Amino acid sequence: MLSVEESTISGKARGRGSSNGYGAMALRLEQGRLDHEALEGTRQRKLMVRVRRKLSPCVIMVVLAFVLSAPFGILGQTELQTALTLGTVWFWALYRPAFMPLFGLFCSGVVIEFFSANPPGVLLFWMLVAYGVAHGCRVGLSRRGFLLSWSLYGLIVLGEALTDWVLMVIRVRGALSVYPIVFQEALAVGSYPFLHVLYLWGLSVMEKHDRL
Amino acid sequence: MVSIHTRQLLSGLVLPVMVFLAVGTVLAGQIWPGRAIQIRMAAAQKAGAIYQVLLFPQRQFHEWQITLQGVGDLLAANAQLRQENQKLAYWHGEAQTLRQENARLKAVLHWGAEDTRDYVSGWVVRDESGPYLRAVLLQVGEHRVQQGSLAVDSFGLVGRVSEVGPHVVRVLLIEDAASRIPVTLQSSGGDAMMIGDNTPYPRLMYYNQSLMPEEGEHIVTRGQTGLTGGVAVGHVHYLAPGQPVVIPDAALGKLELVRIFDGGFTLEAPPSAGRVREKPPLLPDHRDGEAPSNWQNLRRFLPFSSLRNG
Repeated sequence: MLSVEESTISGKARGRGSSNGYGAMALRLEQGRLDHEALEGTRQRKLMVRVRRKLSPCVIMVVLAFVLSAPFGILGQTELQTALTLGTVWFWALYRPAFMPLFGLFCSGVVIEFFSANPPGVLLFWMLVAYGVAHGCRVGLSRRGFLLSWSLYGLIVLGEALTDWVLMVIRVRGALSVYPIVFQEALAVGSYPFLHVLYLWGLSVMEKHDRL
Repeated sequence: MVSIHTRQLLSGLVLPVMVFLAVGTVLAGQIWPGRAIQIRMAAAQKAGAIYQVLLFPQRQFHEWQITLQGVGDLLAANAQLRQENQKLAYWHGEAQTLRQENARLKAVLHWGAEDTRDYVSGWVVRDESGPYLRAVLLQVGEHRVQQGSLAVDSFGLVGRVSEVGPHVVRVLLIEDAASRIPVTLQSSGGDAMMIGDNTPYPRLMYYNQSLMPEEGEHIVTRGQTGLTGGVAVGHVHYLAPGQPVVIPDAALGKLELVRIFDGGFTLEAPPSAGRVREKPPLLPDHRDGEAPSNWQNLRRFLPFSSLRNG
């Protein structure tokens, strides 16, 4: 695609080339260089868009998890960290799987594991489970609507909370209260609609920007 | 070069492999929990600076909150101090009142130099002054007061007790027309009689013509049987040539606290024959056919010749 200026230059070169063969050759070379530069620019922009698309959800997820690992002393901070991480994975894997590559997901999970308070590996495992479920049931869930996806997300969070609970029970070798499971489930299920709306808005902004 | 089929097979294996790695991580974390904690602590230590930056707004907000709480505490303390200040102002007023009362009481006390004299102080409960009477009622409580006793305020002589009731006595003021007080001129040493005429200035009569009262000369009560001597009365003033009067020292217009010297002396009542009684007696009248009470026996000690009601 040539710009208006380049087209004008080409037109002028054509006018002069009719009288001078050397000048025409120089202009053709000039035109080729410009075409190459435009092509390179387009390639770079496409690459940037692809990188941004591939990285944005993972980066957002890691940043959220890192911020929530800071000692703010907020009630339910750890549970919210888990909920937001799994919610992010679920949304992007379900609605824009191209934005959530598996390798990026795994790396993000490993990084989040460093700043998580859950038993090691559990959150990473359930992130992969959420990704797999969303990836496998994507077509069916897109037809059934939001409620079903929300319910499945709730089940995944419940599985994560149960896993945490079981592992802690094994570690302490005694019965523990099930209140943390209920609390984490309620917090995750309750916060997901807001997260969903927020990510939809972010997605629309991102696509609008890429289209421009 | 990997074929498409192989690539699809490998991509299908990526997720199970990662799940396997995650499960391995879970198991490793259960087997060596201390190692996982160490790794996480090292990561948190590396991120300590970033945590400080993240926590800065929260800490700043917390400081503002503490400051606001301090301001709130100051407001509450200020309100409490205002209330206490009001209470202090009230008690200050009370203290002023008590101090003034104390000063009045002390001012009256300076008459009590003679230990032999019994005395009682009382508040004026009613001013009975009228066109033909200058008297006040004094509340003295259970104290027994004799008729004819001198009544003084903090400045000078007020009058003499004319009637005695159970708790109240009537003091006939020196300006009453029935009042007769023997006085001594302090400079010349001459005697005279101070006679009330229902005006603020009692007249001086029956003085020695060779010892004429001088203008401004101070006069005191004459010491004699039935009368305490040396009590300040007032000073001489001539309203007209040959008409000396006494300007009383006592504030007869606003009597509040009056002290009565209750000496065990014989009564010498001032003459007041034919005087019209305006006020009822403090003791009940004796009715015909009834036995006179003990109180009625005191009638003979009354200082006035006419003791009938009305």
